[in-house]
Amino acid sequence: MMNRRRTRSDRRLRVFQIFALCLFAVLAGRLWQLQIIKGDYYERRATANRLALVPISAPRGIITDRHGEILATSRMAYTISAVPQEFSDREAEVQLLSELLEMPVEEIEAKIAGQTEGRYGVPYVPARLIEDAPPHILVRVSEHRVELPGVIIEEEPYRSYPCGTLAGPIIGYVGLINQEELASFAERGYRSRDRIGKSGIEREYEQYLRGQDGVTEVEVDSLSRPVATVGAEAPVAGYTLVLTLDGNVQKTAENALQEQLAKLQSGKYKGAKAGAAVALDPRTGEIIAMATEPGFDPGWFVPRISDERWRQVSTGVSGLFNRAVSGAYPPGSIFKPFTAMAALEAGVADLTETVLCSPSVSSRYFRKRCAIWSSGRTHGRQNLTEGMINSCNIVFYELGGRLTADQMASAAKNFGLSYPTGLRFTPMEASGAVPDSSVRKFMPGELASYAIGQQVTVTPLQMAVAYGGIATRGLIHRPHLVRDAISADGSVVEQFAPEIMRTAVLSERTWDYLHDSLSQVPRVGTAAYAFQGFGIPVAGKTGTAEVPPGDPHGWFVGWAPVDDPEIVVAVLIERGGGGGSAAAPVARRIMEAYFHSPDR
Amino acid sequence: MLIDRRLLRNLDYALLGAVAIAVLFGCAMIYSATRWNIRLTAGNPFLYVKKQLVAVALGAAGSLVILTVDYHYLERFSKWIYVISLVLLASVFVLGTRTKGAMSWIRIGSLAIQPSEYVKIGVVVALAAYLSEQDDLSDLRSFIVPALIVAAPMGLVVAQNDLGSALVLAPVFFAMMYAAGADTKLLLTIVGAIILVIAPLSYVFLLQPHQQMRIKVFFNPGLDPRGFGYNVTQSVIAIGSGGLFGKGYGQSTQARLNFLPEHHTDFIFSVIAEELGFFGATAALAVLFFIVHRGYSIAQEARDRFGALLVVGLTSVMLVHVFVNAGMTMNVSPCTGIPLPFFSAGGSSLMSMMISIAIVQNVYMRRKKIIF
Repeated sequence: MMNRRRTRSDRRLRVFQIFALCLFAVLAGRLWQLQIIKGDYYERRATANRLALVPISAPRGIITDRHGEILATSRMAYTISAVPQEFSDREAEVQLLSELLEMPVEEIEAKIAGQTEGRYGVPYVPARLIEDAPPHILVRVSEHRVELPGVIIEEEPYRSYPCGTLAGPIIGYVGLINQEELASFAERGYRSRDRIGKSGIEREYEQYLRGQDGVTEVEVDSLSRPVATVGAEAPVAGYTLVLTLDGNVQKTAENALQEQLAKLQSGKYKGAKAGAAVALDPRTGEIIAMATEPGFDPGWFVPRISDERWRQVSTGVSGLFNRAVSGAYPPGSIFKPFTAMAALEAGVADLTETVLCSPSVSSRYFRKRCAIWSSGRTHGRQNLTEGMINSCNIVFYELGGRLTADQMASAAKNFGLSYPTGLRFTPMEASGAVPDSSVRKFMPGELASYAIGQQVTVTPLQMAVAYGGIATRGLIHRPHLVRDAISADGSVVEQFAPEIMRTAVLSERTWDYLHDSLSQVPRVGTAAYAFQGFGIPVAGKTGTAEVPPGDPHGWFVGWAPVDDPEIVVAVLIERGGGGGSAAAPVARRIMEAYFHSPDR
Repeated sequence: MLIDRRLLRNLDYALLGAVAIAVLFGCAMIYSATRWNIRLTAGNPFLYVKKQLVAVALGAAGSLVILTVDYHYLERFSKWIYVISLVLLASVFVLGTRTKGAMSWIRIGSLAIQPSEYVKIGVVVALAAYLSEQDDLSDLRSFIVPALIVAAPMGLVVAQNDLGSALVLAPVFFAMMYAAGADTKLLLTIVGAIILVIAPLSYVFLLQPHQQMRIKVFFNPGLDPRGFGYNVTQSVIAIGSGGLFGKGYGQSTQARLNFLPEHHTDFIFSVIAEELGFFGATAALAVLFFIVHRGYSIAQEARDRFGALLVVGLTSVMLVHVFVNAGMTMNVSPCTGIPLPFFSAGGSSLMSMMISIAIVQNVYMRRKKIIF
């Protein structure tokens, strides 16, 4: 009895051994599964747990003019931030901060909570209290460093524009990235608090200017408190962009525009509030100056624009509208060279024939008038050259009557009108309109006004490029604003070489006619007063574009020297009246500045 | 001389050695897990190791006392031991303090003891004494008294909101019944009924929401990774990231950076696995398995039925603790506050385990008549 019970008990106790072994095998098997089979996966999870990446902003690239004068750069700004986990006595420290920063306690607490708490809180990233803190606050906070263990002062690059409004609309401005931009730029590594170019060069060349952000790898604990810095990657500054702009010419262009607008406003032309000027080198397409008035100082947008300023630049005659590239205006008489070349090339006009300018012939031209009649005078008998010099409308009504809209349109399109010039710029340039019979049917009267440039629209940039084509006898370059992109280590990353966009082919006779007649305009014609005593031979054309109701737009487009063109200038004064009096003086000052420049 | 030299000669030194290795291994890991945590150690990196060593000393002293007394006295005083255990357990309701929702501690000055750890021994003693008298355990009626012996303390522990510690006693009960010769079919039927009927019913009707959540999270730790599933999720990451050789002693990131909570107590096994890898963790399991293996071997060699049942009970307590704790860290068993024997920081657990080992040694020493 006793023995049987013992053996049964023995057998049962052996079951315990086996059962225990099984349980241990289960544990060991699970260990194998977790550590060996899925070890890599869990190692990644553990790493993701402990490492936080804190970005270091890279400074944006510098923008200079062609001589290296800095137009845009980065300065160090100081941001005062709070790391709430590091507060030793939160209430007292926030109270002290409130006094030092002149900011209510509630506002500080709200900023801290916004950054570190809640569903989207990132506790290891400091909460920003004051961005770009003014020096006196910085000094005050620094003095209390010991009492404020939870407060840090971070250095951050901010955009800075040492020349203020100079070339402001060309450079453009930088702002916080918005939701749409974030969606389209996210894959290039943009984050929600990044700054991004919003317009102008800053936007168009964003990829060049944006540096490579650095990163600090921080080891954090389970409460996301930083424990140690594990690694760091230094930020790399963006490329330096050397513009084709000449700072001096640019400055003159802006000043001349401003002064001219002020002068016109104080006189007869109250509506003359805006204007644009473009100066470029027709041999290369390099833009020497590009001014648009009113403009703005990109520095107004750093770190963010005030409401008052925003109202000022965005309403009424907006400074954010770049008239040189985005403004499409009727050209008026500066279109006449294209009418003339169409007539000469089509063989419907002869340089020797004459046309009578007199109110008595008005009935032949749909009761249209020549501009000079209002002063009680007439041009009398004019040949084609005199018609150009004096900008006689009757001569061109006559040509318009002999031409079709398609013939005039194709002459203009040959020089790039109605097409983008190819300038890399944001916002995209306007292309204007040069309608032909495919757009609509033109009545005979409309053909007459087509001939004097009242049926088409152009931008100041397009006109400068097109006249550059006349100056160079057919070579039309793509206008550009950037010469070189230079990386942070000083090597040239990209050079923007001259590029011929199109070639216009005309007979030598026509080229000679255009150069001959246009070169007399500043000498004895409609721009003679403005260019009186100017030492260098200039060729050009004035324009007075009717835009009823109100005063006409004044235009001047021309180049110099006549036979060896270095610079072509287009000037537009909105509602400035006659081109000879409103626009030509501005063009003269721009040319003066260019030719007086020792290292042009 | 308190103990006869010849009795000492009969100690199971392999078991003693394994326990010593486990305790020292545990101390080393406790040091590694706590030394970074200033909040826990108040600047003294050895604080928890010291506490553990004090418990070792007390446990050793207690063990020596136990070794001098023939284990048959336990049988003789089993009723008293049982009653004292219940009183001790009940006293928690009057004197106890609450930690992490469970009220299971008594503070006497700076000393905090957890009666439920010791009560397990009392229950095993009482059950062994009762069962050693029973010849026939073949019908359901014969299960009633032993079941009540276990159910009373279980109920008290459940009332202290420490369901996990209470449930440890259930498998121990079945283990001892089986060892005592209970009818296998009957036992399996009861176990099956519990798993298939009573457990689901009590889940629905008896468990509180937070306890239900524990069970839900066991089946799907991703359910609430920042709440109830957090501990287990982080523990699994810690263990998995250890790989074959581990991150190196003291190099854990999950424990050091506090992603893994309770890393010196309930989740010490995760720290071992993270720092020492698969090799270290299986080594720890091997030591524990050896202790359990020796326990069941000693049960086989015991001089009498009471000794065998006593050792089976105490060994089974250890086995259940090991499986539930290590299993919990790997999401093999639900998350409960059960410590890993000999490894986890905690005086009551360590001392009760050492006392259990002393009783097992006591049985082993007296496996045969001492030859003078």
